[in-house]
Amino acid sequence: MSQDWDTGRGSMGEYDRFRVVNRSRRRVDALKLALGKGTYTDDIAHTIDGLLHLKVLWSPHAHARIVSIDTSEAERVPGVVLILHHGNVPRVPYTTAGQGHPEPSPYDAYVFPRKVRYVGDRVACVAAESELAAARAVAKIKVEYEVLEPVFDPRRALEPGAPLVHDEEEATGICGYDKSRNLVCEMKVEHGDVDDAFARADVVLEREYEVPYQAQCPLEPHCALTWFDEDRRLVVRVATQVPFHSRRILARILGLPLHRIRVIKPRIGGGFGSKQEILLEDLPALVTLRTGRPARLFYTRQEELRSARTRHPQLLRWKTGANRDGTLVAQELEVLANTGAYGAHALTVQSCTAGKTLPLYVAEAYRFLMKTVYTNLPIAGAFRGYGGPQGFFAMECHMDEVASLLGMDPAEFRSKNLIGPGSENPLAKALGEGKEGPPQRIRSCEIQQCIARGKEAIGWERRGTFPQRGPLRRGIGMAALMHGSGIPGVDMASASIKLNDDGSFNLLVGATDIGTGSDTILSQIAAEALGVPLEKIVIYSSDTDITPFDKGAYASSTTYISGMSVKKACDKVVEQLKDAAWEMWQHAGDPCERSSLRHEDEHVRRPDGKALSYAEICLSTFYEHDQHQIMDHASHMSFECPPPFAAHFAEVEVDTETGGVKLLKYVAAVDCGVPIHPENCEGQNEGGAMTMMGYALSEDFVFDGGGALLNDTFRHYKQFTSLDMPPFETILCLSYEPSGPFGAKSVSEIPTDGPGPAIANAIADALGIRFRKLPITPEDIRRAWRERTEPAASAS
Amino acid sequence: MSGVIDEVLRPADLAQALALLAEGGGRRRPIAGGTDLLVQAKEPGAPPRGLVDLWGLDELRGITAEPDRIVVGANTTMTEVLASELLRAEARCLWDGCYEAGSVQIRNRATLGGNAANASPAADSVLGLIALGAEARIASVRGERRLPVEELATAPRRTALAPDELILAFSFPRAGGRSAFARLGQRRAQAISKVSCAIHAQLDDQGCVQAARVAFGAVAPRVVRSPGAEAALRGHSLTDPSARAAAAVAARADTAPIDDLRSTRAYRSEMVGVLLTRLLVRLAGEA
Repeated sequence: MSQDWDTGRGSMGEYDRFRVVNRSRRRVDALKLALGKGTYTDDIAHTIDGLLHLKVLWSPHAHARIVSIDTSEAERVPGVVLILHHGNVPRVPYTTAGQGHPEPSPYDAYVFPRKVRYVGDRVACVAAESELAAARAVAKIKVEYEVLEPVFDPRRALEPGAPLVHDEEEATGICGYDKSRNLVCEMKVEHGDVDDAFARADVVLEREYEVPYQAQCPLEPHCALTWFDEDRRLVVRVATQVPFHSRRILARILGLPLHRIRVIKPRIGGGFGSKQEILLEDLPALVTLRTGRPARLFYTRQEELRSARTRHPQLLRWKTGANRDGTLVAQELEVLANTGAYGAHALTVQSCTAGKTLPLYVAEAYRFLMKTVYTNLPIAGAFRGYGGPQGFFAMECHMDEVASLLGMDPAEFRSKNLIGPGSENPLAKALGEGKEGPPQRIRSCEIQQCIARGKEAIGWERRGTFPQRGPLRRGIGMAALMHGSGIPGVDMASASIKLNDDGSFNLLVGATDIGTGSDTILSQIAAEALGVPLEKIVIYSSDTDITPFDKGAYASSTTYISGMSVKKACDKVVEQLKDAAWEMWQHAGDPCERSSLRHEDEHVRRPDGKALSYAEICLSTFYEHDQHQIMDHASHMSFECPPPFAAHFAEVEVDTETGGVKLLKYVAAVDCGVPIHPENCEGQNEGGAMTMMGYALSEDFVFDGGGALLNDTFRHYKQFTSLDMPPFETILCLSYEPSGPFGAKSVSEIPTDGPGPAIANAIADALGIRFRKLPITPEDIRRAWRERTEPAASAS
Repeated sequence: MSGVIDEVLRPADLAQALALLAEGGGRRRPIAGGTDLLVQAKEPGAPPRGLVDLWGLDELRGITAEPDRIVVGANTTMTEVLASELLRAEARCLWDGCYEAGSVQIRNRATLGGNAANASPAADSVLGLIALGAEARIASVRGERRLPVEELATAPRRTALAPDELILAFSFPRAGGRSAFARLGQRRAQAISKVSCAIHAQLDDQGCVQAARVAFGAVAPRVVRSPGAEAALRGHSLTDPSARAAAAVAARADTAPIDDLRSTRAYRSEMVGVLLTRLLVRLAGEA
């Protein structure tokens, strides 16, 4: 390990000097949201004259060729203006995945496919004067289908003779793409001599795990409004996490010059990855282009659940070699993932399944084998955690199983093998974003502190002491976690900032606040860097005409990447402020040393006590002397991807008679560097974990024999609600990340990695029964408990 | 294609409401809180319909204690049930059923009449009414009649009510005894029951069951009683383990659960026995 590697510990003293960051200030958008004044995408629809309403005809078949579409009767429905389908819309292969250019996802989607590939695929779209007229017309479109044999099982999809989901010539992909086998991508990564390491290990354990589909369920469904502005430029107001990618991809599929499109992101009611897609704005955009009229598309919850995006289901095989003293020797992970009908995010999500998990534990050798396949089921895509939750469920269950095999305490076993400050990530190069990734070395890392404090908070010493009788059994489980902060070498964000004559600043960022609080934390970072109160920052985020570029709200990148662009822009403006103050004093015949100037409390100060306020400087530079606008911009891209670390702990009570699991307590101890807004970090942990408690216990996709989703409403798709939440404790374990703004790393995705394994491990502790498939339902628990306790009864 | 509500009528009083239903010739439906109807209106294939809004009819609301009976108006919301000390003390199985149903928002709108008329096999408040031996007072322009609540639903979403009939109130005897309700759902709120059970038991001086009424939800096409379980308990102490076991076995024989989105036949069948046993333990004061 390199001795001069900056692990950030030397910078911890900066904590004491923070005035705005590392404080839980009122969110900059809190008041308007609390008053119901926050304006979301669709909130202005009623104010738009001549708005056309869109409804989509969805495929009722999992796999079918469209033989003909007859719209004659639908066109006669009063109020119908336009009907779009594959026969009258250009066929441009693209990916709906809202990623950087070139997108590392296959170009396998079309605005309207000629062949439908899942129940819920697009067939046609009606634009009409009212939603009702559009819906009536959709019901009158006559489609003749040649129904094809579907494939639902990802194992079957790879077999010779399996139905081919993408058998058309245009579809292209990368990384082993082979549509003649339904193969979307394939990876084989090795580090060290894996076979030799397994051969030398004292014990080898191999187990299989399975994780299901999951829906993001943002409270605000996907929606978009489009219109022509006075210059006949296309304005797209859309609930998106990626306004700049939306503009780029729209230009491509609409055949429109990019400068003729403006994408506006208003307030967003949550995305969780589902809005990292160019999911629906192409349809109203086409209608506006064809009719010249404003257009609106707003998904129902049923459309959201059937036809938006989901978390990739995976089958995972984990193999570990370890020595009797508890040292890990080799790790092997094989993943078979199901991307559904299209390959959005297929490569990168599955790559993260290994990239986020395997490096957490130091071993001599690693192997990662991955295949992702098409099936005729709903489309998977980006979902908060992005492959992490699938991998951590398998790995962290597996680590408990290995610890048990070795007779070790699971926490102790983990602590012994964890990555630490100065460690290199041996897999970083091989697991890049569709190409070789930059090397990674850990600087800030307080995972051991997370485990120690988490153990204390959950009462780890009680583990193994609970009574083993009666219908109610208690258990405690844990999981150790790491994630990333942005995509190294790819993600770029920019910000611009300008001074106003009262000493306030306009901060323009491409970063996309989708309810995450990024407008607040980016304002905090600006205020801290400039030495002004938070109220002096006026932030505006993501409008492709107005703000500079940002990759978008994904990959846990906003605090770390966008935050650093804000800090760099502000640092440059501080230098301009000092230059201007120095010049003002010079001009007034009262010179000083430029290098002696400091900035604080909205003033540039001299050692002799004299000071000029930012307002005085601005007024002078606007109107009196050396007139110019003090402003600057900065971009940031990082070759580093500092992982946040966490340890999650769950205590459960399992009712062995009903199979019900009651979460008694949940602890999330997290090292996210310096928390810019501690309360918001706690909120991120609670929300992220809550999403995944449902994944662990209550959420699943139930299909009928034809591949149609049956539980496609909130009546039957059961996320955790606030009433299901156990007492929840977030512990912020401070570290200082030298490459992040004011020491910060990411926090938003890591909490999604923990609940699956922590809860499964707690259940295993309570019952002595290991569940390797999510969700763990009362039906499963009851069946397993009967088999355990009444073998004769269950055999009969 | 979603259903279309093309007519909403707001009668000033009960007589007008009955007249409007009678004139509707079957295409008008009464609506109270709307927690079921408005969801169903969005379902594919739902027919266009007119609604007769009962929400403003206070004469259908309220909880009245008569010397021998308690009368609960059909428009009474679950929240109003929960606010009633009388029902909590004397109709615990009904009170608990309302406590476990839906969410705060749903309980503020959902009425007992609506829950019964919707004829869901999982209706949480109906179990308690059946266990209490409640009868429904039913009216139309043609006159009034009474029907035991257990005979109200005939199949999922089908009732013995004629299209022009309204439920006015539920009434049940103040017979004393003990009652309780329990359910299992996919989560703690806003989850339709996988299995539910209510029991009312009349005890003699020795603590033996003189009479019991046991109802189950979500394990048959409608909320059903278990005559077998009731017979197995009669004459036995609530603490008698063999009576409990016999009741559980009989209850499983009296119910016919299915596999569906929420659970499995096998699990439900097993939970019929588990829930009943737990309620017997609770009634005996052991838990």
